[in-house]
Amino acid sequence: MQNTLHARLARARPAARRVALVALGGLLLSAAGASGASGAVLKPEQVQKRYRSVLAELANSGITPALERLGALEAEMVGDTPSQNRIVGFWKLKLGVIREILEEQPIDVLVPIIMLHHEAYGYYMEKGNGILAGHARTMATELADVYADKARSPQANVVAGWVLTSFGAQLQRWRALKGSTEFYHRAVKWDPSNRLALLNIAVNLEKVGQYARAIEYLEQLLKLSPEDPAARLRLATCRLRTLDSHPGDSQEIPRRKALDALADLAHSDEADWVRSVAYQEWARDLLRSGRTSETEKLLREALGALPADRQLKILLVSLLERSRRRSEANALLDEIKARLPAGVSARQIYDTFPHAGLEEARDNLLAAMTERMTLLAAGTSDAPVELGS
Amino acid sequence: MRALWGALALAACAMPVAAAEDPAIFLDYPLGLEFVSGPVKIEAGVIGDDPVRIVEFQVDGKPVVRFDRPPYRVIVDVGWENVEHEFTAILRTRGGLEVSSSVRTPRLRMDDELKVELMQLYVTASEGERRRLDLEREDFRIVDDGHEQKIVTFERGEVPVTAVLLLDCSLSMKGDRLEAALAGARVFLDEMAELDRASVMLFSDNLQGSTVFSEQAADLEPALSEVIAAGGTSINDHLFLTLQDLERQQGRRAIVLFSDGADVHSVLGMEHVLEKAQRSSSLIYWIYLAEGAGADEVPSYSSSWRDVERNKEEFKLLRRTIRESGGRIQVVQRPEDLAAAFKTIIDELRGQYVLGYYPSHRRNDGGWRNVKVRVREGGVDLRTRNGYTDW
Repeated sequence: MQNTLHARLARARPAARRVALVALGGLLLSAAGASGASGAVLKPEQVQKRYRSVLAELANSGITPALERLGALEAEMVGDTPSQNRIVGFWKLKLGVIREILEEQPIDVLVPIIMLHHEAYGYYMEKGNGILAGHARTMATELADVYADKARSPQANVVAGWVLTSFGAQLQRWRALKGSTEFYHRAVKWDPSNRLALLNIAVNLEKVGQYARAIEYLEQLLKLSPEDPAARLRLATCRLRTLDSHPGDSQEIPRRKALDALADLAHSDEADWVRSVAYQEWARDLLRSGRTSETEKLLREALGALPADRQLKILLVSLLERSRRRSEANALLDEIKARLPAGVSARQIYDTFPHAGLEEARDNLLAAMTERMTLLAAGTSDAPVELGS
Repeated sequence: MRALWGALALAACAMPVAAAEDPAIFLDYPLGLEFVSGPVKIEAGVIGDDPVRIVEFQVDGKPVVRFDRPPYRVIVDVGWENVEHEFTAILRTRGGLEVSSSVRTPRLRMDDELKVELMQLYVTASEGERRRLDLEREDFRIVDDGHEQKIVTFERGEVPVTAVLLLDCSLSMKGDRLEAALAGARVFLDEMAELDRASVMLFSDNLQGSTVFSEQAADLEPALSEVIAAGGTSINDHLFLTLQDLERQQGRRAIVLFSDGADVHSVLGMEHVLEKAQRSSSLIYWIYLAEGAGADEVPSYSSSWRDVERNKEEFKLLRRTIRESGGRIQVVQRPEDLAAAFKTIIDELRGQYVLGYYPSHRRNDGGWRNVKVRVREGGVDLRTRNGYTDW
């Protein structure tokens, strides 16, 4: 925690902080001027004044106009060739403003500010500004940590957990699995009941072949939601793959557990893709054991339940072909080739990052943010309404 | 054959005068009395005063060859399934008349099933960068499972081919890559010779499009329009299905796979595809779009189904499958080079030898048989499959 925003805020004393901020800001801006970069030469006080007006805009007019104003200020501050030094200096100036607000308002005032910076991430990504997007992410996540740590309330934990989960999901989309997992871990630290974060930690671990560790998180998740079909399915497939790499008699019990779960899911009324994958993995396990006739029986049962599923048909074609039943295999092949194009396969859905509920949670949080706007309005009431750039 | 043809001709001559003037076509082979499988000789004779414009042979309703002059004779691989086949010879005269003759061969009773399969090897010979198409039957030696084999059929050059263009249209192919690949596929289709046949299969994590087999590029090219890159990638599944599909086709068979090779969603492992390829005789060519990667580099990627190490194993197995089929990997670094890659492959298919032999020591035990093909002349490199599963 030493290098986090929280630590910096906690360490800063009002009088010393002002001196430090002016000094840091001065250093930052003189560095910008000296390098001849195109960032505007604004005094630290001016920067803080304008940031305060961004927050006032957020409190009074909502997130969209505030984002535009924040975007204009930050772009002006960092210039066309943003450097890490400038961003760090800017960051510190903004923290100074936030700290001043916090001196007079309850900690919940952070919620709209966190959401502003959360939304700024998407705003900057859309504009192709990766550096400011990364800055927005750092602001949002570190403020979320501060909020949960200081507020010590279940609601604060949920908010922090959600913000961190949201960024975990963003990084997953960029295939940055390590960074994504770190955010999910931070989310779970504040909110151990954050199911989405638990599931996605397991997904990330599964993707890098750490099945045993994925199992730990899935079991944790299933304690919270024993019937969660995605978690049960992943637990079963991870268990089977763990057994693949450690064959032996001692594995019979976990194998049985995995197969029982797959059978249960296959016969359930869960989504088609869940049932399809359950049947597929069950059948593949039977095939590996050389139980051909049982596998065929199972696949025919599966196709009775899911007649349009192409991957189940491919498994059966493969089995029939190896059994030298070419005519039957070819008839099934013709079925696969009929009625194209096919949709998304069950295995592709399984491989997609499970982010269901994330957008809904965002909408809820944006709505909940409104309740805290009055705090922010009070905290920024001395900010000028209009500021030229 | 001569005797049979003579008898039929005499019979025809014994008819009234008007009948002798009419054109007629007679199938000499096959006779229609026995089960046939594998390569089958089809031969026909023609009588009549009206000059021949074209003679076409069809097997099971599908055209396999056309002639504008005698001899009307060809060897066609009808596959190994125990099924009936219908052989038809059609004569079209310059005077605009059309006559035909058909025979139907029976399926084998199951208790009579025999294993007397002709093994065919498709061989590419080259010397340095130059392709060699001047070798004779006597120049080749085939050793199957350590036993020297007698070459019973020998063809070279313009041997018709039946090809499947198996095109990856997953999301990773979006933009220039897919567009260039589709353009390349069109080049391949446009370069097809008269008796060549092809089909197009488009896949992502699921099969997205498929055509029938056709000799006409115009029948196939619409499938290459308005293709959208989307979804995951299942190379193994679709390579397996294509190998299976091609077994139903006659003659020399080839698959031209276009992909970046990153299978992430297949339900079948590549080991299943390798086994299938070892049981089949199709050549597999892979146009590997390896932008930024070295030809021998094994890319790193993972999915929920396989981690990086497992995917690397799959990738290596894919390369092995291609090599063992007798095909090869054409590495392409830039999308703009894809059209040339497709052209190179159809050119290569144009210039191969087809060597046929009956393996002298078949055991049908599912075991692997190494095959070595050698050529007398030094400095000539040969590429063909390195064996087969004897089952």
